[in-house]
Parts: sequence; C-alpha cells; structure tokens
Amino acid sequence: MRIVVKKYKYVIFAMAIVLGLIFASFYQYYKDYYSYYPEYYRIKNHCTFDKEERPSYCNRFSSKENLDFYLENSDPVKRYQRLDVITLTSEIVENNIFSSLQIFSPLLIMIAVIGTIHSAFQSGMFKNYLLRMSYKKYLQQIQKTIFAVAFMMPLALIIVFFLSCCITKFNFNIDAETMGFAVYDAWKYHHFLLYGSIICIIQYLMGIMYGELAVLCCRKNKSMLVSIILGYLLFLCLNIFIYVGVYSILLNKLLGFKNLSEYFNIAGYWFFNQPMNYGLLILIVLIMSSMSYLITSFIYRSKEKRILEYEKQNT
Amino acid sequence: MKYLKGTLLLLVVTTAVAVWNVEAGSLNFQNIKIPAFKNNYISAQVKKTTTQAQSIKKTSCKDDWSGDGRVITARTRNMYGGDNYSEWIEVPYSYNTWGSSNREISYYTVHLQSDKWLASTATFNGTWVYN
Repeated sequence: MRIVVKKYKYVIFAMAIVLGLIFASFYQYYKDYYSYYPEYYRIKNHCTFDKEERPSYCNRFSSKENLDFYLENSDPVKRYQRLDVITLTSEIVENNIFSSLQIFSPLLIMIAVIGTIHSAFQSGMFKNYLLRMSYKKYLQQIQKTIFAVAFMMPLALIIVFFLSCCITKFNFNIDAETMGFAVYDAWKYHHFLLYGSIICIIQYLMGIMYGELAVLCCRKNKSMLVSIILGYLLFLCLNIFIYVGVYSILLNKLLGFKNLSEYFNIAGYWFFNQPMNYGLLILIVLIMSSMSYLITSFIYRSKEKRILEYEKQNT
Repeated sequence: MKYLKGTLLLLVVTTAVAVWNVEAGSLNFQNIKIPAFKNNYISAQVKKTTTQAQSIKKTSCKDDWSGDGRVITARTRNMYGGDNYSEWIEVPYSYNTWGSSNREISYYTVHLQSDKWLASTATFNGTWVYN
C-alpha cells in the first residue's frame, strides 16, 4: 500500500486539489446564496410591526407590505426547495471556483503524469526496465498511465453531480424561474445524462492530449518542475494559437466564418449553454488527442535516441 | 370651456410633477471592459426604490481579439445583510429579468462576467434597469 501511495503520490496530490476545489465551490455557492439566512430569521423574528420597539436594522422596512415582500421572496427554505440537481451541478461547474479548472486542469494532469513517469527517466531506471521488457511495452505502460490519469476530470464532474444529487435530495423537478438562469438550456436540461456523458468523453480525450504534451516535455529536462512548467506553457501557447491564430485570424477574419468561437476555445470544453454540434465537437477533440498521441509516439519511437538523450543530460 | 382649460392645466401640472419626482431607474454601460479569465466587472451601487423586477440587456458585446459576439452573464448583489446574490442570468439583446430574487427595496450592484474562461477581454454596451 505504501509503495503504491509513494509511486502515485503526484496523482493523489492532483486529485486532492481537485477535491478541494469541489468542496470550496459548494461552500462558495452556499455562501453566495444561503449565508444570509441568520439575517433573514433575525428580521422575521424581530421586525414584525406588532412589536412596540423594533431594532434599528428593521428601519429599512418602512411598511408591513415591504416586510412581507422581503420575507416571501427571500425565504431561504423556499429557495432551497426550488433547487434541482441539474441547476446545482451546472452552477458549480460554470460559476464557482470549480470553473477555474477550465484553465488549470491541464496543469493538474501534467503534474500527475510527469510526477509519475519523470523519475524513471531522470534517474535512468528506465534502462533497467528495458532489460526486462521491450521498449514498446515500456511505452505502452506510459500510455496506460496517461489513459488512467485522464479519468481525473470526468471523475471530478461525476463527483459534483453525485454531491448535487445528495444536497438536493435527488430533486430533478425544474422550477419555472430556473428557465431564466444563465445555466439553463432546454436541450441540456431535457437530455442531461447524455449531455453529461458527452462532456465527460470530451474531458477524457482532452486529458489524454494534456498527458501526451506532458510526456513530450519530459524528454530533455532533468528537472521535473521545468518539465511541468514547460508542458503548461505549451498548453497555453496551443490554446492561444488555436483561438487567435486558427480561428480569429484565419477562419474569422480571412475566411469569414463567424460564431464558431465555442469550438475553438479548447479550455472552454466544460459546458455549453447554446445549441452545439456535439458530433463535430467530439470529432475535433478526437483529432487533437489522436494527433498528440501520434506525435508523442513518433518522437519516442527510437529507444537508442532516448538513451542517448538521457546520457547527454547526465554528462 | 373654462372647465376644459382647468382640467387640461391640471393634467399638465400633474404630469410634470410626476415626471419630476421619478428617481433614475436605470444604469447605462458604455464601452466597459469585461475582464479576461471570468473576472467580474462590478458596477456602481444604486438605490432600488420599488419592488419591480430588475432586468438587463446588452446592445453590443464584442471579443477584443476576434470581434465575435461574447456571451455575458450578470447577477446582482444586495448590499444589505451580508452576501445575498441573485442567480446568474444571460444578458441578451432584449431585456432579461431576474424574477423574484432581487426585487426587494435595497442597494444593489450588478456583476458582469464572461460565460467562459477566455484570455481576451470584451467591450460591453448595455442597460441595467433596477427600478
């Protein structure tokens, strides 16, 4: 057990950060929308007009009608009863601290992947592994690590959904007022399991791509930290290149294609609140992750080159 | 005839007084910058004096890099009694309301943000009606 924890400590570390973000997001949601309830009950108990003396904080209610209006529309219990699973899940993913994973999930995946495989490259242990197994099998082991780590973000989404189910007591009834919220989209709400599955698949494929970028940066860097930073910078450059270079300049300004920014903002593949061609989206993501896999496989094709690179770093 | 003149005069005076006593009930946004990376633009504080529903619309919002339209979401914050936010709603080209969550008479600010985490800023024009 201790050996497993030691071997996968960076994966556990990354997952711990994700779990921390999830709990922080739920707390932030509670703080924004329900933390006023002590004030509400203080007003309800002490500001009624039948009392002779009312505290100064009641002065904002100049009439009984104003007070009744406040008590009716700000009732936290009624607000909670209106809350459904899909709205809470969407709010957590889209509008709270969790949404920072749009830009930081590549970093966490790279920490997990590089942390797990870099020590074997850096220490030269991989040469000992190659005495007992073929180079092809060794590369397959690295790919298995990437494929396993890529489950991190879909798992995070499933945890958010599960916690939302528990908090709302599996309330899937959509209140009429919810239809005015930014997170509401008719197709998404009526096909939420399908929508959620698509997002999980997209995030899994993106996770594979980030893992392949991480492995690319392991090659010539003795320092794990440098590899992680380089990998993340590579992701940022890719993100900007695809959005600005490929879409804004080439497709938008030169070729005149409009309103496709959702398809080319690779960091934004966490939610969609407008009609999308999900087939096209999955195809784009599949192409990106396949290309990254092929490029990594091509660069790592030669065992001798890899050994020479290691020896060069250590002379 | 004199009754007609008197009634007309009364109507004009009443209308003038009614208009004169109406408090400003909307805030216009002209070329404000929506920050990058889903940071919030926070408006000035306004005083809501009626229990009418609040609403907001955009007249334009363009990404500063691509020139594409940008989806903006907005919520209000009731400045009385701790954190009390309304839900995020999308800001479309026609007025969208918040429903019942922010109709109380109080002081409010409105927060605007981009729908997604994007590296680029956006330029926003629109109107927030709070009374």
